[in-house]
Amino acid sequence: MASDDIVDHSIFDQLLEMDEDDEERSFSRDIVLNYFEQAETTFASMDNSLGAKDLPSLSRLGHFLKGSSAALGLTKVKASCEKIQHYGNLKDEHGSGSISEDEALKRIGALLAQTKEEYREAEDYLKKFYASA
Amino acid sequence: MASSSGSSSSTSSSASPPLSALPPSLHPQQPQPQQYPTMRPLPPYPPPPPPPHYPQGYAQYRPHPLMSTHHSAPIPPPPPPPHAHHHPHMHPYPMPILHGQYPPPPPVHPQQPQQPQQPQQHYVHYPQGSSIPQPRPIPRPPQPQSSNPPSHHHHHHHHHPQQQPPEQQQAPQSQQGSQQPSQQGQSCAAVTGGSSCSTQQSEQQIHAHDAAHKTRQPHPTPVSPTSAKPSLLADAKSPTPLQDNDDSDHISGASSSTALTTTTPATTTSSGVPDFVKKLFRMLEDTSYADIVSWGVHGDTFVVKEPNEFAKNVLPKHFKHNNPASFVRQLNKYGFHKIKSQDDGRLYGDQAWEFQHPNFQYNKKEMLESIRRKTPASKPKTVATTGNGPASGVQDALTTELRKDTNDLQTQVDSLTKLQSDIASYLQGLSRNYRMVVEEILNFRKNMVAQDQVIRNLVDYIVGKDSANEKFQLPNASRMGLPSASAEASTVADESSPFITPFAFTKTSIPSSSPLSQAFNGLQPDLNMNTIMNPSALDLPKEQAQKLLTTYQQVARASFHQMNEISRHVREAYGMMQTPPPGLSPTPTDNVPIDARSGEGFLNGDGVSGPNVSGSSSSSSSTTAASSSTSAGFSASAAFASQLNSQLMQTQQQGGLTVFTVGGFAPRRDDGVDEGDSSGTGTGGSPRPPNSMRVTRATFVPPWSVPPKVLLVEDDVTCRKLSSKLLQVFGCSFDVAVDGLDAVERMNVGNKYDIVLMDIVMPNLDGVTATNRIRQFDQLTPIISMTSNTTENDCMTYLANGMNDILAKPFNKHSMLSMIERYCNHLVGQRAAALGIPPAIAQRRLLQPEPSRIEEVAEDEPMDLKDPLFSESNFTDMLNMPMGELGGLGIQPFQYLSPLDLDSFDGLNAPASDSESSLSGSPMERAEMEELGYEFSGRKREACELGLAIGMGVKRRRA
Repeated sequence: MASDDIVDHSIFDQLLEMDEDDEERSFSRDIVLNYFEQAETTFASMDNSLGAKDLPSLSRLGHFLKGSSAALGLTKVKASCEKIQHYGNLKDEHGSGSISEDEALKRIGALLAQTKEEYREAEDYLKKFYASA
Repeated sequence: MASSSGSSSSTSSSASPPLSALPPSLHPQQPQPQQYPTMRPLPPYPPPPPPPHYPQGYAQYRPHPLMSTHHSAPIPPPPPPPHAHHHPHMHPYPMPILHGQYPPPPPVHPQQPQQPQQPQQHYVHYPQGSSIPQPRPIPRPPQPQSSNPPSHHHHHHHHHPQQQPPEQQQAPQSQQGSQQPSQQGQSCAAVTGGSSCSTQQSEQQIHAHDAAHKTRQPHPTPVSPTSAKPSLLADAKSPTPLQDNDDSDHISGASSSTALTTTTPATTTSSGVPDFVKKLFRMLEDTSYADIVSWGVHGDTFVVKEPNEFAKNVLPKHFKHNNPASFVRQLNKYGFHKIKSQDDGRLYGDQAWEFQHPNFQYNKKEMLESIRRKTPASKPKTVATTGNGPASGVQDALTTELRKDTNDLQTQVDSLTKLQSDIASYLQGLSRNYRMVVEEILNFRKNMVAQDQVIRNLVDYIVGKDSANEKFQLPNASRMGLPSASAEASTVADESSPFITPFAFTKTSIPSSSPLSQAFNGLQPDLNMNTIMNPSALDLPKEQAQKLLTTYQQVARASFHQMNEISRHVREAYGMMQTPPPGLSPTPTDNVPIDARSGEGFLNGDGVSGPNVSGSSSSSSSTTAASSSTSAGFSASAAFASQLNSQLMQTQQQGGLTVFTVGGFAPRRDDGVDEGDSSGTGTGGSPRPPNSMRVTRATFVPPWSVPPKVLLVEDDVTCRKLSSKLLQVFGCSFDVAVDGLDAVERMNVGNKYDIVLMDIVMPNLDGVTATNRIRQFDQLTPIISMTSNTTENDCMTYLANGMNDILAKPFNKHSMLSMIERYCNHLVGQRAAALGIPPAIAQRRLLQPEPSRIEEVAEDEPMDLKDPLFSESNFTDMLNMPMGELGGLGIQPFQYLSPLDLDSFDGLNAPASDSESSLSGSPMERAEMEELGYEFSGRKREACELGLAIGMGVKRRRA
């Protein structure tokens, strides 16, 4: 499936596997919808923190969204969130080295936009999936 | 040598005060830093099987190396400390279950080498933790073998006592001792200072092994340790001087004193002459008694010429008593021999005693050092250590060693005592288990009888129909006290609905009256139908009988399975039996052939409508079955099913197990038929939404018989939901904490969990800190870090803060399950503990419970059916008893009524099950069970065969 770069199906299918009902998929649907909510909230918080130049908060938020994105197998979003987490810690995208605050804010600014896009992509995909399910 | 010996006389006496003045508190503490770093209870990574619950006990069983070489010295050990207070297993029953999995500090664990700061971290926890059972202050000599390559110092300190004996035997301490300083190149500025330092040091070292000393310490017993001891230690350890010093540094950090350890032999060897020998020598130097006692003519003996005079006048002066026998005994102890030569005897008179010792010679005082007590069995009178004789070092060495021997003995006594109590509690558990098994058997029997009833009714019904045609008489209906839905037999022909399910419920309901044997015979495919059928049944057309039989077998099978399920589910949510919900009714696919046959050939074919007590409608029997359907048996069963439901299955929705555990059995909802009219009641009467009946993929059978209690700590909703779901699927019972603070509180209020899954990054309190706090009061519960931050540094931090393992996010079903399995592996141990098997015994395979064991018991103790224990009410009481109470009684409710346990009966005669093939159970669990002698033949084997096996076994034995 071409969606594999959006959603890691080895992970996402496990989620689906836990649905007890093929038609409704209420369990995974619930989780995914919840994730959407969470992501929106988190992005909003990230925007705020970016405005406030609150790097620790950005790092924390990045970590936060990373976790749930990973749980759903949203690989790209997860990767980006991880980078945000690192930048927020004044580390480079691999979590090592160290970067200046300005650099971190700059990188996060760019990355945040990208992350949102990646998220939209995933959201679209998932919404379609559940609409057809 | 001479000068140092002169000085040491003063130092040695000055050295003893600090020794005795050592605050007792010092002793217990000093050894600990050496021991605990390697003993932290954190299972390493990957963890070993749960640490042996009784590691010390068994380890101590092995004879200490010293013991074999020094068998001559069994001092009566000092009164053993009151073990009962130390050992949790002395407590009757429940304790091991709680603590079994993660034993208190002492267990030996391979240390994780990559955690440098751990020793201190954890050291903080244990010694000070007042709640922890006092670490047994007993040396554990065998640890080096049983444990591993731990840190050197730990290793070493067990090592050196073992080195001593050979050393002492071979090495005349004086020479050895005198060479020491130069050999080791250790600088010791002041010999005298060295002696006191080393005395202390040696004390520490001794205490490291000699924990029993702690109990003695308060007594001013003049135990030998004196200035002489250092020489011994130095001597003994001379082959490994570097190692020794290394380790000494580790030990106390008092490196200054350790440096001196090896330097003192010169001073101490000189004072090593036993007091008695010195006094003896001095006595002989005094020539004023020459006619009473004197040196022999050759100077290599001494002679007591006038024993009476000697006792009266000389002994009191020099030995402060006038008991010649005692004097002679002392001589013997020091290796003096009485010479009985007739020739020489006359030299001194007939009464004279002449004693000889190779090293006791006139004017050769320096040889006195070599005179040692033959047996270190009793405390020499020389303890006061006034002398300088070099021999005292040797003597003290012996004393030290003696103490070790004593401790070893004591240790063995301890472990024996412990073993005994273990065995006792094991027996206790066995008998308890036995009773539970019997109860279960009785329960099965009851059910079988009930089934038998139903089948009889069925047969009667058919026979009656055959003979009386359209009228259906149900003679048994009234007897059963059930509303006899009679013969007019409304025809609710519903071919698609299996009529089997109601049977599954019938069994518990119908009063049992018919013989057990019939019930079980009925299950045997190869058994003659005649036994179960009425005589008139013989008249039935054969194919009908055959079909009936087939049906019956199916019923029985389902019913057994149900019982099995029930007993299993009861455990997790006491009181509320899990209706073998969807699982009980065989899946439609299973049933189709049967239905077809029974329906067409048997029911429909005869124009009798199959009562519509299909799976889905059974509980809604009020709607269909009761009102309109036909056979009393069916309606009765259906009615009872609903009754049962209402009574016992109130909360069945709680358990997460329902759908998944029985996935293999779960029927797909028969859409066309039930959806409308079954009105939301699930198959088997479980009031679950229709949808949930549909088990599609996620069929999982929990590997544990006792659901692990999990604390899930996760702030993120998504992860929380996912993890919760997984836990649910795994059949775990779990609580959820939303952050670290929540988790700490939950743990702090006494909630016991088998495992904690802890997110790391959380608001309020992060997982690491939370773990750290939890570890302040709970060192045992495994805490697993659930995190996506898994760099090496992160992991170090987690582990250093008391987390046991890391479950990397995003985890999947398998990684999470295997993590839980790994740490809830102890539920096997718990099962063993529930059986009363001390884990140590189980692990050492000292016991190999076999299926036959139960048979033996059964033979020995015929079941007393009148025993109130077996009465139904009693059993019911137990079912209704709150879990806590049962626990209080030392019973883990239904832990050993699990299908797993019953699996061990498979070997008897159970054919392989057809409906479930997958084996489950973690390999580890299985391995352990196999160690215990359980045979695994597939835990998911249908219970009916198990029950059959049991039933047959019982029948056979009772016949």
